[in-house]
Amino acid sequence: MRRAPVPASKRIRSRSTAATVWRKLKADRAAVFGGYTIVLLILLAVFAPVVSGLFGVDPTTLHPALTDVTFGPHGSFGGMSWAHPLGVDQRLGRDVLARLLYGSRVSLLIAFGATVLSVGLGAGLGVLSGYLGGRVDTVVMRIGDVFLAFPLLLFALGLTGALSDEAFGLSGNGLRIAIMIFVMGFFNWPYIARIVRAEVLSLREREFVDAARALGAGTRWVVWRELMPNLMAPILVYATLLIPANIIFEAGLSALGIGLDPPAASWGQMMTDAIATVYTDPAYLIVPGMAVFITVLAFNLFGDGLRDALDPTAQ
Amino acid sequence: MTTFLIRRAVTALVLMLGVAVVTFAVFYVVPALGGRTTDQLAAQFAGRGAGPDQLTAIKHRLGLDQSVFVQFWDYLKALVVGADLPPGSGASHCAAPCFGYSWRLHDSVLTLILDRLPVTVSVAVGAAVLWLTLGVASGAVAAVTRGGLADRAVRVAALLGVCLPVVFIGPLARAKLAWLFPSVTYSSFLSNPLMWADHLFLPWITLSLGYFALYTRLTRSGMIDALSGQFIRTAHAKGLPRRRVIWQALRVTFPAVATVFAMDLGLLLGGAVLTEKIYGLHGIGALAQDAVEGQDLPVVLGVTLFSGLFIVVANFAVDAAYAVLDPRIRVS
Repeated sequence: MRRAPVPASKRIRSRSTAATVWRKLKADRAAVFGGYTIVLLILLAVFAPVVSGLFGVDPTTLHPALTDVTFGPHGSFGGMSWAHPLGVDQRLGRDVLARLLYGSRVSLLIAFGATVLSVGLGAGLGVLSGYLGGRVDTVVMRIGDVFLAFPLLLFALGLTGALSDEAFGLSGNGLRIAIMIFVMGFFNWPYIARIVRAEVLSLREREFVDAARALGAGTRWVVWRELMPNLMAPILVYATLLIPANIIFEAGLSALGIGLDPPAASWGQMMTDAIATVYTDPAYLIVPGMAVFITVLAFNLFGDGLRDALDPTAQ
Repeated sequence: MTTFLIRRAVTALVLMLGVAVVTFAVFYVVPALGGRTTDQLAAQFAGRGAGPDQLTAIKHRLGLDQSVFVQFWDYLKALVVGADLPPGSGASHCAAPCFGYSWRLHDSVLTLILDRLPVTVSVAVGAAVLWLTLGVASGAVAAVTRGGLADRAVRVAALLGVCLPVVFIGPLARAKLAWLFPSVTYSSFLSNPLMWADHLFLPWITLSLGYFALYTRLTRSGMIDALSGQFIRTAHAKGLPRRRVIWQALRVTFPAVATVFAMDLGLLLGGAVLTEKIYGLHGIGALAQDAVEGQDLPVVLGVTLFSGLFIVVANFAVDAAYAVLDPRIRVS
């Protein structure tokens, strides 16, 4: 006797991992909020000239009539008005909204650049260390320990002092941005390397790796086709959580005087400029501060959601 | 335990050598690759306004006209046995460990650092104590009341804490809480501990906010794991009071906390430098920043090297203290 075919609507379909993760992520309201905010922020940064054009503001025009050098911008909340929605800065009367938009480009560029550098380095060395083991492992991990021993902020400060105004064919703000990306990226890799190494240590003993090797797969195949797909989850989560940490770190570097020369500004540089006038004009500190806060919060919410969604044991 | 400590001490020595190599590379080799000439380097040693013959003398004296390896050897030797200073420096010998000599300030870099160190260490230690105690305590509370109101409150506080940069919250707190903490200055702990704590309380809070969040999360997840363990069920079954059961679960999370804390020491020192800058305290950070602005390379290099070595030593101290506290390490 033949069984009646199960109607298509009642068939249990297998879901791919990506689909499961996507479903879990969509169900997490905080992660969805974070994700949309990140997309919006990136769009605002990319189209900064267009957006500030829509508001009729630009980051370089001075409006000395709108501000008083001693008492800060005229009007309340840092001189907020229809013409200047987020006010003007204390001394020169430049539009804060436009500076914020252009500043997001610098802050995000540095944060993303440093993240790509340290995740790339860390993941590479972590795989190498975990898969090859032995002496390579010891050497890589010890070098990692040396790098962890440096207080990054002091180190960046020292490097700025050691380099002249022109180095590696770069100068001015280009050189400063390069130093920030280099220090943040190059000295952060041991964290991700440790995580990846631990993952690889447990993965390389698994049956599917043995099977691949038994079938004659070489190191390259095992690393790229067997290990990497399983490493993407922790690497992705770590990268998402490293970006906000780097945004905050950039602010710290600016405060220590490694910031950009005006009129260019990052969010950290804007906050640093505002410190001197916080008693008379707190709005100028609060606006970029809140921008950093919202950005960092969005990345953290999204990263946490991503971690939960990628964790097969979590419900 | 002695073997453990000896092995750790050897590792620490190797790390110190590594720190010295990296510092040397960054200050001598990388700028040279970037196109810096030895004349510019000598000028950085001399400070502003040095004449050409002075530069040549410095170049020769410092061995800048020699090969990189000779320079590195001299630099290591100064650290271990000290170095003689060129005539006219104001002092004839820089005693070991010689972190360099500032020709601008006419003092050995180590003296300058030790002069400023109490400020930075005060900021760092206070903040670390604050975040360790509060972070672990609130993480434990959150784990015990998992899903409840206290848990949610702690998690929201932890999330917000990690999103507020020192550069933002520091100046704001100083401006808005001036009525509560009118004075933020450094005074010696030994002369008046209460004043010391009162005047540094705002910097401590500012610096510990972000870390508080991390340690709360760490303790919370560790304790949730521990609370579902067999030994906790056994403890309950034996009729141990709830407080002691929770303490047992909390103890299990300590190794993880200690490990992360040892890794965070570098960040802590950097954070302390930033915090003291925000609050206008004159610690290591101000020393380094003045040196960068005044192009006083020996000080810049010395501070970086010193802080790297300091962290290796501090890391070793954390490890050793932990070995004393944890019976599992003591036995093996």
